[in-house]
Amino acid sequence: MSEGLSNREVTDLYRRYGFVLRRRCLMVLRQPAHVDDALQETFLKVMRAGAPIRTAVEPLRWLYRVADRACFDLLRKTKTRRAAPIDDVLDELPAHEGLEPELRRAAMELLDALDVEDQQIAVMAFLDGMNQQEIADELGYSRMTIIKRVARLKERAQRILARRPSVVPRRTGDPS
Amino acid sequence: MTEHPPLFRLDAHAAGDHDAGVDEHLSSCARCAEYVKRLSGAVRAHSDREGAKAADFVLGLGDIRRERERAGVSEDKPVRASRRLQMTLAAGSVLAAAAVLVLVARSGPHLSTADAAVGEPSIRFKGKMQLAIIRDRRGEQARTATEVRVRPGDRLRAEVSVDDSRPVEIGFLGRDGTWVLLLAPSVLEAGTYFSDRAAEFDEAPTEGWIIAGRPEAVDRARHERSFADVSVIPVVAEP
Repeated sequence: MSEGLSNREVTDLYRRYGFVLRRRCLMVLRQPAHVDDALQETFLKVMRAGAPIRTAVEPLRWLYRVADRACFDLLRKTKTRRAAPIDDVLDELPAHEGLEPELRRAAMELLDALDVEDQQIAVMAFLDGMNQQEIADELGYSRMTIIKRVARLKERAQRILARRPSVVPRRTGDPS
Repeated sequence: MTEHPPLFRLDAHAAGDHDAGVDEHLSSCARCAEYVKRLSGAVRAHSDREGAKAADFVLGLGDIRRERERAGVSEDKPVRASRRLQMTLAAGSVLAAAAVLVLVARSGPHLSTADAAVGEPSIRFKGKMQLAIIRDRRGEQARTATEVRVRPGDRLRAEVSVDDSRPVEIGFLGRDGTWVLLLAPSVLEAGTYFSDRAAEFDEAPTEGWIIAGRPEAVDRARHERSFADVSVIPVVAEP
């Protein structure tokens, strides 16, 4: 059983990363109503078994994975159909070739229908923008396996996009 | 997917974790640079606005953990955040130094009633248990029945008066959940008593409450922050 963190350590983490973690939960869940629950569960897990973060090279990466799992759990338990928020926090992310906002949005909408492993891959590929090798290294699969699975996820996300009557330009603004 | 750093690296950089690789990328990628710049501003604004609430948030988590342990609920079962919020609100105002509480309970000579009776007339009680606190600050004693302010080195002893025979327990409950027993559960006959132990505050006094009442009510107060059935005196750290 992993060791937990002291109140002071958790407080410091909350002060430093609370904002971006909350935002992360909003990106994955796309349901503002459940974001506080996810953030709370994330920090409860950190409080209980967060000792590895003391030596983590990339603490926020570690925390994002905890938050992602908390969000996946909530998606499974709440089973509510998610709607695209009016002010979508995903629109604040930098748009790059191969990782356009619409594709990101569709991939996040797809999460409801995926198992946990595909949820992880979808988040790593379409939200974090990790390449296949990075995902393979983190999950312990071959690069080829990840290439195939990302390709399948992309196809499904593109089918979601294709079903939409039109693409509505979304407002961009400051991170919330 | 792209040659840009993964989102968690950009976000970490914006949150203050300097990353030389990200720095280098930002110098040549306007989109990522703009994103990090805006996010950094939002993180700073949030920290200014909400940073002081961090301790309350974490204390609320501690309450939830204890509640789950008591109820035998799996740690993985989510509790609605509204409950945390309620608990946090119940915990009161911000406690900046909550995590550095050092509180020592020690036995010592009883304070005399004459020494203790400062600032108030002789004790009158009827029906309900009366609770007061004697604060010893470098030998100078003050008695209060409303709120007690503490500095490092202060010692607090409880004074309780009952008008019939009843079981009583007294202790100090810190906002971070620390419990220091001042009077073990005892059956007291009608009269006035001092706790047999005192709470001494170290360099970073925590805030909390002195709680007195029937042992089961005190236990409820400790675990649920429900003070309806106990006598309570808030303990506040002096700036």
